[in-house]
Amino acid sequence: MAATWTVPALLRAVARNAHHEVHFVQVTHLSSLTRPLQTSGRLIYRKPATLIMEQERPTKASYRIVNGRLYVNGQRGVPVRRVPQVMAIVSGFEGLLSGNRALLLHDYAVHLRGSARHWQLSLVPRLPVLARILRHIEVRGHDGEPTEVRTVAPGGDFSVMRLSP
Amino acid sequence: MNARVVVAAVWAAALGLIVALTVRYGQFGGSVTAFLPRGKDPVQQTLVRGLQEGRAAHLVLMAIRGGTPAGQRRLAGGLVRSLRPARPLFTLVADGPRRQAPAIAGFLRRHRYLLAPRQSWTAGALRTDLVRLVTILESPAGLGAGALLRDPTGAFFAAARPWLAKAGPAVHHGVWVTNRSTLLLAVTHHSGFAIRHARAVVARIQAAWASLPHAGYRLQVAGTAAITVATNRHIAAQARGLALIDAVLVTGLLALVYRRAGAVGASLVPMLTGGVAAAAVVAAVFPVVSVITLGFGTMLIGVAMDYPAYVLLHVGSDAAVRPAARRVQSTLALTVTAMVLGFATLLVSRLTGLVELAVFAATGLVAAAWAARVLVPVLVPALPLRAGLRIWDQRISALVTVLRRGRWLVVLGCAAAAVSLWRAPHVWDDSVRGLSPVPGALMAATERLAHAFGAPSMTYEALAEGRTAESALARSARLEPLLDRLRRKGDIGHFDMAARYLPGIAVQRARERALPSAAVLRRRLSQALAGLPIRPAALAPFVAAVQRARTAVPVTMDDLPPPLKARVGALLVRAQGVYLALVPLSGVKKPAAVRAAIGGAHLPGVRFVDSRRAVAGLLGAYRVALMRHALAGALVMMIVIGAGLRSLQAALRVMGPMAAALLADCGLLVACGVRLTLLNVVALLLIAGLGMGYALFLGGRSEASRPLAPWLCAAATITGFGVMAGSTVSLLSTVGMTVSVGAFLALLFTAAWSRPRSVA
Repeated sequence: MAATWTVPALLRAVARNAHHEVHFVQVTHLSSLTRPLQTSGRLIYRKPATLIMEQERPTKASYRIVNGRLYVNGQRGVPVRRVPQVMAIVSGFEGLLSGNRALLLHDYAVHLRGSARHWQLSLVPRLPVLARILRHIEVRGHDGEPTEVRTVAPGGDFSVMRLSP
Repeated sequence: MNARVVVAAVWAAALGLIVALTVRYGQFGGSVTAFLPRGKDPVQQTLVRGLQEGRAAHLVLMAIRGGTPAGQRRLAGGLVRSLRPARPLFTLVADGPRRQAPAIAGFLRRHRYLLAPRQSWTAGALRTDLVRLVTILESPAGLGAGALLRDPTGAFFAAARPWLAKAGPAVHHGVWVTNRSTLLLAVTHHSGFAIRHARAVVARIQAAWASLPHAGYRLQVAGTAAITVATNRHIAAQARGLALIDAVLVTGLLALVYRRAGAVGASLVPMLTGGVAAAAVVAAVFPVVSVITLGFGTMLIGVAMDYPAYVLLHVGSDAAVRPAARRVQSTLALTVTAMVLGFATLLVSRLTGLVELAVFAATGLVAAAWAARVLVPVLVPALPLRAGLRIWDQRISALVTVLRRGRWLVVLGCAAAAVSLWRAPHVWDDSVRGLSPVPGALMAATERLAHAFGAPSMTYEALAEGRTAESALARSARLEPLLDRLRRKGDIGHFDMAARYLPGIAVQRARERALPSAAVLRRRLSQALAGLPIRPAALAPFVAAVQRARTAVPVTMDDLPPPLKARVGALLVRAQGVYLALVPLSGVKKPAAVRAAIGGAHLPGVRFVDSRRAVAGLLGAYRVALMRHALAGALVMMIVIGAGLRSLQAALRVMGPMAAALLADCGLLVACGVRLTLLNVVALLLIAGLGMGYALFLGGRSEASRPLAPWLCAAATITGFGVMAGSTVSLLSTVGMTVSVGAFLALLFTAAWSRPRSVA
């Protein structure tokens, strides 16, 4: 079975869920901080191009990306491309959830390991603008459900986001 | 026969040489505004220079239409890559904001603590910033936000805010777009009014476009340079066509009368000689000659077309031209002397444009008269006129007798014209646009694109004047709270000021003094960090940057990177030893209220200006000066003619009908809905010159004088300018109409008031 577990198959499996709504816990490790920062909330994906991150702890905050524009706490939207830090986190994620293989392959070199039961997708940025702030992203999951997203910055700072229904 | 050929050859060679020398060494300036006076008031000067040299004059706006957005982007990128190396022409070429970004970002980051306003450096204020910073680090962007620790107070963004706030076109995939087209912006090194540079700029853009695979796409080029080129091309094309028709008609007319090719050719010699001599003298005397001077001047010496006709038509039955020239020489000399002395009054105007014009016209007329008197008889020694022409003399004499009976109608007509002028709501159009024949569609495209780029309209502005750049900046900065209030009330849309981008030195020094020392800052940071997860060591670069800023040299205009300098430079200018900070106001709803609010604030050195009205006032003042001097000139002419004819009554007979013709001409034009401009005034001066010739030759006392001569001259003038009246360029058509109608009226009026002569 492992032989048939390819990126297209993964994308198909992910895309089968038209709506994703999961709980997340993100832990960010920054060398400039004395302790990791932990945030949690809900992550919602709606086809075709809406990604919502409702942060509940430690403070309430809302980040929405609708059709390539970022709305922070309901304020006036700015194009995501102008905020590479956000784009770095979002684009891989969105490419994966939307099943848009072309977008994913345009922005990243993609490697898939493991089986449908237990897969690990590695995304290494192709675009220089992304590479400056992002070393790679690793998404783990089973079947069509991503369970963990690990994002590593060039300086070694990293964040781990665990996803649960 | 041989003498003719030699003289013609020498003349042609001399003319050619003078033209070559003039073109090689003369400096010819550009636009209508170059003709405007250098006002004594620095504000006026700035307004004029603003028209000529302002930021808007350097902008080239381009739009790519058609095809797909991706294709448009590709072409835009291609254009940028192709045009950017053309450095001497362009100081900036961009298809989107990012191409300007790096240089600006570096500069703003380096000087952020001097450029950005900051209220407080207490531990409490720092803690507010650090708490906000932690929220950002917790956000989805937190991982990439580590760099913010170098600038925890957000000084960089505060310094960049005025530059970013500037409204611009929407950006898609890094390029500017609007209405399904992709936009590009170029800033040219020279003002777009300078025709030579404008032509180079437009040609370079077109060449770059041609070298790209652009099938299915269209490039629209707008902006001052494009307008200048299109206008020139439009006028040149029209002028070429009209000149051809003119040449055919006028030559045909002359050929009909003279029946000799040589005589027709020689008729052009005085005018050419005058024009070339005048241009050469003006180019030699003045450092820069305005193209407008050349245009207006050439029009004025159009009178010289009449001179050879007066000479050639006065040949006697022996067909010899030399005696004829001798016969008319005193009358010819009188008209030329009167006109030259009349124009001399312009010399005392001390307005460069008018002085140039006076020198041009005087030189041209003297040279033309000399050519008519000396060269024409050599080139055409003999001209056997048809005996049939005599009949025309008689017919015209009879017609003149009829006209003379109706001479009181002239007075009546003049009264009517005066009433029409007096009652007309608008007689004069003093706007610059009245003088510039810009194609409407291109103008509209330029306005639309400029609007998309958020270029401020320079119609309304506040001005702060100071002895130094510093004081001008400081004075303008004091306007900010007031303007903010007006903006909130909706009286104005936006405003822009140099002080926003470049704070005054005193302000920067105050900001420096407010920066805490390293030890103090570290202590306050350690208080501020209580309970926050940020390592103190991570803030070391911040502490070091603040320390550097404490002893930094304040930023001045010279330190700004080019794109920023361009923007600030347009808003802070120097004129006549004083500095002016311009504060353009857009979306002004109630100019009177804004004027009252700014005036009521009693800020020293600050005032509100309605530029369009101010420039119109300047042009109006100029026109009034020209008219005043022309009136003085008319008085001088009258004295000269009175002395020449030894009779005041005779002088009145010459000048009266001429003045009446001018008045009636204006009245007629205004009644037809034409609004008169500076150009019409120049046209009136030409008519005055023509009319004087008619009157003097119609009233000629010598036995051999020919009534036909002025009528032939008038017919040629009316034909020539009548063709021009049919032009689609309103500038040309108005002038054509003014001159042809005016010449016709001048002829009728002078004839009606000419002295009855004993018909032999």
